Amino acid sequence: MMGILKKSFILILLVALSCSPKISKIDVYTDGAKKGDESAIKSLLKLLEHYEEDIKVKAYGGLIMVPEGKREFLSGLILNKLKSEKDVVTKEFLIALAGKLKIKSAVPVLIDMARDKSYPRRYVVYFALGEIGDISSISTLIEGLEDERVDVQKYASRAIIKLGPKALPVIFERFNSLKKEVQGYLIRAMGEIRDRSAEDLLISQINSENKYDVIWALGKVGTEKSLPYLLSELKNPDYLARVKACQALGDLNQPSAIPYLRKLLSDKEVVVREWSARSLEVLTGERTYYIDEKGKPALPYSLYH
Amino acid sequence: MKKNLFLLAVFFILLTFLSACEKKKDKGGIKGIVYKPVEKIYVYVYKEGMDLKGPAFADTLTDEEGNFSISLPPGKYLLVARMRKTGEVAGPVEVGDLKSEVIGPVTVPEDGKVLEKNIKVFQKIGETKDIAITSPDLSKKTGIEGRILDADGKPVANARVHIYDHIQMSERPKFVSSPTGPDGKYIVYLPKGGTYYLAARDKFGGPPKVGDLYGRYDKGTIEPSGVVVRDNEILKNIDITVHKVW
Repeated sequence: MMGILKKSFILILLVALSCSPKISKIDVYTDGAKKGDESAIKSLLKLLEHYEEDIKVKAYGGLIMVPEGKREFLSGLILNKLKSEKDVVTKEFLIALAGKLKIKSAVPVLIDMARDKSYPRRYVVYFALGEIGDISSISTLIEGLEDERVDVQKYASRAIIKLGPKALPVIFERFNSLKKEVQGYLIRAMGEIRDRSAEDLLISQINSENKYDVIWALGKVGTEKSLPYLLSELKNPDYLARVKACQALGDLNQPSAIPYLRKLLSDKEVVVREWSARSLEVLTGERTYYIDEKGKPALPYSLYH
Repeated sequence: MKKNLFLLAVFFILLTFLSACEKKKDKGGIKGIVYKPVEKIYVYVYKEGMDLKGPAFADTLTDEEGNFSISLPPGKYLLVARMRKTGEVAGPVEVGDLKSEVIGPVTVPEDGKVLEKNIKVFQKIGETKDIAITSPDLSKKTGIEGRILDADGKPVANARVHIYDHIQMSERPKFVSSPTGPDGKYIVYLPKGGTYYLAARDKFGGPPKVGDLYGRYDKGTIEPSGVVVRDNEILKNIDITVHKVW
């Protein structure tokens, strides 16, 4: 009796071993996953646990190609796995996958993960939240701007930008209570969101520590109302403020800035002269020479190839 | 009891054997013949007037067959190939290392034409005289330096900084750094000051693919942040974090 039991046990284990996905078949699984084959999807998900990063990357590449109709099936598997996964790198791949597949039901899990400071690669949590773009994550994203890791702060900032104008009411409400560094991120985010409703808040920050960012952002979202503030920065003794102001005036596209920019063609700093010429080209539509570092007339190269 | 233990031991031996078989079957391998002097070698490019013992303006590693390609802005350049026994990218060329004569000056034209220059290398067998080229004054160099870091904040070796002069950062970079060492440090010398856009990556050529390490220099924006460098200024601490492309 015992002999039969042992033999059966060994047989079951052998079967289990033969059922585990094989690396040599990864391309077959990928093809299957593309067609929505559930067993191929499961095999790729299993290979995501492989210790070799190249195998993980290949498995990930196959999983992001799963067709729309099988995304819900895959989402369920990913969410289950996410809750129990301990390996830092496998978890990174799973989180990225949740983001890339825009799994909305993963947002509460991701919000919890964002607060877990023991997970060293939490940047990917913010990447995923940015990809999913659900407004319920906005508070977590703002908290991420204060994270001790700079890469986490940057991913949180990009995720806020991806939320677009729907993030602005929360930004306006929370702005004054936040640290200067966090305000800097939000100022840049407002510039990239490019919604004019941010103009007044940005103008109110023109003399703050985030001056360069405010000037840049006003170029992106400002109107005629921003013009005097930017023109005044052309006289700033700090050459970087003058560079930013020249750049912003080109973006603002207000022709009344032309004579002011022309004056800066004789600025003592080459980079200011170059940027005033570049912005003059935007405003006038004509090629404009500036004096280069060798004292010779030169044309600015186009930043927008 | 002893019989059970024996069976258990047999089972574990079988399990180990099976999993080893599986790994052996799945893992590929490399086989071939290595012929000397057909091997990878670094090609260094210097602008005319640069110190040939200092950091190069650009460099690249040939493929196994010795082919190389490097994009450069119009101008006059000197080329030299070197391969140190240590495999180091920089440092003195010792007796026994491979090196070439200095080729050039080679003029890269404005029309974007790619020139063909074949380089012969030989083994250094003794000390020779230094090439008489004036070292430029270090205080008059323009450039950018910093570190390339990974998702864990650790330095990344064998990555390069690609420098563009246009905001889309598409097509070929205008300048490329040497590969980083274990400290992740890079330095790129620039012909003049201006506004530059930076990206760091572990692969060379083509757009970054899923799984590659890639990062732009930015301040948390989607649009890359331009770095303004003045003439005769080395801008420091321009650190770039690279993450996997998802």
